[in-house]
Amino acid sequence: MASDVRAAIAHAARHEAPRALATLTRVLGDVGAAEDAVQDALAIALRVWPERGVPDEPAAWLTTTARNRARDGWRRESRRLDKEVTAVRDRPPEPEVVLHPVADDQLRLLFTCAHPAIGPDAQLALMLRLVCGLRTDQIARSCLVPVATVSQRLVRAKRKIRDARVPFRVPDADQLPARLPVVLAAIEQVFTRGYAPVTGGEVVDVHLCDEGRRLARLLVELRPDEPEALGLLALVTLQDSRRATRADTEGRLVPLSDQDRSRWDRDAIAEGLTALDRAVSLGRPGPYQLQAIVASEHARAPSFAATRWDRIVAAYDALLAATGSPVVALNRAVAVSYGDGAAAALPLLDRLLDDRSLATSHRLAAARADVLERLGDAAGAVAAYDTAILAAPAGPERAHLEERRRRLGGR
Amino acid sequence: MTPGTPEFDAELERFARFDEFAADAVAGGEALGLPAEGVVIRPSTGSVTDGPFTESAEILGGYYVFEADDLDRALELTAAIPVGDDGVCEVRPLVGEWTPTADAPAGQQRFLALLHGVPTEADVPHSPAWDAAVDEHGRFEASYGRHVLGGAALHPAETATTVRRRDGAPQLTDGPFAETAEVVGGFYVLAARDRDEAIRVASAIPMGDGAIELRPIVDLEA
Repeated sequence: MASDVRAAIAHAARHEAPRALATLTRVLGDVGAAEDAVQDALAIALRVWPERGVPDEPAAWLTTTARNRARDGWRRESRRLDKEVTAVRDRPPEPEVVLHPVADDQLRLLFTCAHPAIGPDAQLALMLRLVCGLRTDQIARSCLVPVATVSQRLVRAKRKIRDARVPFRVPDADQLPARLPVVLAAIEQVFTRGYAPVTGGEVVDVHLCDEGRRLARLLVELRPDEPEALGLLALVTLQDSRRATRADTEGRLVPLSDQDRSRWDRDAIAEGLTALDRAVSLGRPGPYQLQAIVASEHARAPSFAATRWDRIVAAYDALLAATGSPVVALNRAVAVSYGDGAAAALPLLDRLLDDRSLATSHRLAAARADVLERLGDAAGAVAAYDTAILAAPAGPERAHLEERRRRLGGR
Repeated sequence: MTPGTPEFDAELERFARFDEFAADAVAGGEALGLPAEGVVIRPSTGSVTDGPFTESAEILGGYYVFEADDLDRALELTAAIPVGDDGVCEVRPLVGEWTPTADAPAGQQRFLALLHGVPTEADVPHSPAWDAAVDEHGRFEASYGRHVLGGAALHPAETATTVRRRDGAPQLTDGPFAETAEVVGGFYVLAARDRDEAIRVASAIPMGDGAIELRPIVDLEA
């Protein structure tokens, strides 16, 4: 097959197919049936486009072909697929009925995938498949689970959507405040998977970061006056601006304090700050906007030393008041350690030692180790690094902690 | 909660207000008697044990059957059920049409028979094993027709959504209220002269290796 046709089909799978899926779900009222039909349409494209050429409007072609597949009462038998291919191949070129996509279809799909009745793992798999157009093996690689696990999650989720009647709908205005955070969290999950993969050699998985940003942009496009959607867009864009500097040439983690700021993506920073300004101007603060404020202070600071830590601490104060989250308290303490000094932060960190949710994470121990090291307590720091290393999953973060421990002259 | 006490009356009042709120959406439902009055029957081994089904810590207190256009509406109704801060509700789609439960004949008591079993192919609607099970249950209902007032099959446990309250707001999770080896696949509402007769009838329900949890239904109209 010519490489440009192959590229067109790959592009169609990632970008056009989700749009076709959203439209078709509205038309068919069944996301599972719609997905199967779109997958079949892609398979037909693979056979027909090399001969007939890539259509002028691939999304429309996919939608129509998929709709025809679904309407003809198809089954997933390869024999029938071959017949369909022959029929499509032999059909004389004709003006095609275009199923007009409605902008809201994509939004409906987002809210369906991120429905609270669907578990977070399944939400992520659905988003990656239905909205980002990733194949099962790609999802498996990104989520670091076996392909069979992803398949099972998708099958169960689609079955649940069908049998429990999860609606394909943007929630009513009165439901939206409760439902929007779930969608935001699901999009954030897509980005975070790329930005901080749990294990594995790479520090950054660029495709997922790109997808996360694309979804955040899409949500803002579809809900332009939603401050938290703008906040999420600002947050992921500003975090992603540091992409090039988070790892060195050997794939080792480079902490924020050591990153070469001249290599931060200025366009991404501008995009993030613009989104944040728009969010703030709407006058409805929220957790994502606050996290974005923290990210914006880092983006604005010409150096680590010049960072306005007081503003970061103030943002964390508000975030802590809003969420009561121990993770926020931890991040706040780290900011205090740089703003007011390590001595001020130690009691804040020690207070968190009793928190159950932080007990299994390596981050509290890592923060304590860093603070103790800066206070000159080498023995205390080594012990804390040991705790952190034990708790951290294998990967760049743990390797970084081991290196810090080694430098202290431990065994 | 004992009938005749002020707490019981307050509970009745809360549920009466819910019934008003839910109105036409309520197609069925019952309150259950004390867990200690229940009995668990496992026909394959012949065992009959007093008390409720205890694979998980929570004990069933009652149920509603809602008619709703979609899950959002069903969850909205469920979140409003006055179960209290410790209460948990599990929402599951029924298979097929729901026929309202008939009243018990004079002189008879009503019982809920919950069917617990390890998930199998027979739980997947319209699979061959499912169709065979439907036939078996059909034969049971034909034999014991006088005693069967109603019932339904449920979609598999994976289609469940659980609703809890946290800080006054409903908290949703995907899946049944507890991860148990044996899950509820369906239920019957039975009429019987007394507990012993109810046990005899329930023991005839085709269960394979599963168990029937028999619980007396509290007649609130009395």
